[in-house]
Amino acid sequence: MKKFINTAKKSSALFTLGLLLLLWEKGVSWYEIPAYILPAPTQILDGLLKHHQLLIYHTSTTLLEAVAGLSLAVILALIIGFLLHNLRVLYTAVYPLLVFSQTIPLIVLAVLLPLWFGWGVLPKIIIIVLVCFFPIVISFLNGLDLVDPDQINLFRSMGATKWATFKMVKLPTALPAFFSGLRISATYSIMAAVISEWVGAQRGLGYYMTLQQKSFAIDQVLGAVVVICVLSFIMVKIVDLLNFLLMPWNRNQLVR
Amino acid sequence: MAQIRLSSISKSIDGLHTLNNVTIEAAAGESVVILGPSGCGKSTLLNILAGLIPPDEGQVIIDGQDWTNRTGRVSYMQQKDLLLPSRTILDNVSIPLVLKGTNTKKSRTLAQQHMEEFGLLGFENYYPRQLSGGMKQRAALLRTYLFASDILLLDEPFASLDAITARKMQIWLKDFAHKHSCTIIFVTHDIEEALLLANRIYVLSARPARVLKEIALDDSANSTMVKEEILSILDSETGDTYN
Repeated sequence: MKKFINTAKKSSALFTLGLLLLLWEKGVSWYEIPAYILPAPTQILDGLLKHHQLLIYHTSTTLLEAVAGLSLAVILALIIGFLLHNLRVLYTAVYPLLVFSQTIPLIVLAVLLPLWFGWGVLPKIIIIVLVCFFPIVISFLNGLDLVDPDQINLFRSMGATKWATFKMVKLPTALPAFFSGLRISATYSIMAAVISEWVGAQRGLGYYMTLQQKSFAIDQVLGAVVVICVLSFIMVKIVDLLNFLLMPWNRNQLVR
Repeated sequence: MAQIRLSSISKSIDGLHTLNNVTIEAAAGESVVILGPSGCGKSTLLNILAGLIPPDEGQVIIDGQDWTNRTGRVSYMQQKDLLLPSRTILDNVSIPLVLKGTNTKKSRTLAQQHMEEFGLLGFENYYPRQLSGGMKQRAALLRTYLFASDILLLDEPFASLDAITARKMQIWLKDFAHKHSCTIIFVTHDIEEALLLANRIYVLSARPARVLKEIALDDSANSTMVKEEILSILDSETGDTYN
C-alpha cells in the first residue's frame, strides 16, 4: 500500500499532464476549433509521426548547435571563472561588464549576428554561447567562494601550492554550484538555438517552425515544440548524469 | 634544549592587541597545553607557530631553526576536522604525502599502514560524511601526523565531540603521544582536558594574551590542587568566575 502511494506521488505530475491533455482534446472537439487555429493533441501526435523524417533532419541541426554551443560555454566559463577567481584585478575590471552584458536584448543580437557572420551555424553557436555562458560562470564563481578559509589555511600550512589547493579543495567545493548553473544553461541551450534559427536559418527546428507557421500548419509548429521540450529535458538529464558520475561523494544526496 | 620555542611573541590583528610578549617552549616528546579563556588569541598563537601569519615581534624556533612566517614544518588540527568531502578517508589522510611529492599510490600504501592504529581500518573508502565525529577527528589527526610525525599542533581538537567520545580520544591521544614520543602543543579552554594531557601547562590571560603562569605536572602532582591553583589564577586575573 505504501509502495502504491509512493508511486502515485511520483507520477502525480504525469496524471496532471494527462488531465490537461484530455481537457484540451475534448475542448477542441466541443467548441469545434479548426486545426489551423488550435489542433488537438492527437492531431499533433499524428503530424509528428507523419513528418518524422523531416523533423529528425531539422532536429539534428538544432541539437548539434546546442551541444556545440553549450560545450564551448562550459569551457569558456571554466577558464574565465578560474582567471577571475585568481586575479582580483581582472575580477573588478570584468565582472560588472559581464553582468551588464546580460541586459543586451538577445533577440537583437540574433538578428544582427547573421549580418556579420552569415546564415550558417556560426552565429547560432555564438548566441548559444552568450546565453549559456553567464549562468555557468556566475554559479562557478560563487561556488569557488564557498570554500572554508580554514581549509585553505590548512593546505597552506602543509605547504600546498596554489594550484594544488585549487585542484584539491576549491574545484570540488565549487562543483555542485557549477552543476546547478550548467543545469539552467542546458535548458537554455535548445531554446537559444531555436530562437536564433527562427530569426534566420537554412535548417533547424526554429527554421522549420517559421515555415510551418507561414503555411498555417499549427500542428507541425506544436509538434516541433514537443520535440524542443523533449530535447531540453534530455539535455538536463545528461547534466544530471554527469553530476552523478563526477561527484561520487554527493550521490545519495542527489536522490530526488 | 627545547624543540619548539616561541620567544616573546606579540601580535595585533586589525588593531586589536591579541598576543602580548608570549614565550612558550616545548621539549621533544613533551605534551604542552596552552590553557586560556575563549577568544584569548590561542588560535592566533598556533597560526604563528604553523607559519601562516607573521608575528609583530618575536621568533618561532623549531629544532634550532628560524621558522618565523614560514609554512611547511608543522601542520595543525582544529575543532573542525577539515576533511575534504570529495575524498575518501584514505585519500584525505594521504594528502600531506601527496603534497610533499609522493605519488598517489605510494601515499595510499603509506597511509594505509596507520589506519589500524587510528581506528579507521575498514573505513578507507568511506567519505567523511559517512563517519562519526570521533572517527573524523581521528582521521584529521592522522593527516596531521602524516605531515609531521614528531610535532602535533592541536587546536581544541575534541571540542566538538560529546563528553564521552572526547574523553576516549584524550586517553587515546595520551597513549599515542607517549608511544611515538611526539611533541604536542595542545590548545584548550578545558581545565580537565589540560590536566589529563599535559606535562606542562601555560595559563594564558584574556586578550591581550600573556602567560600568567607556567605549571609543570609531574607524576606526584595533585590534580585537584593544580586545578584549584589554575582557577584562582584565572579568577583573580579576570575578576570573573571561570568555567
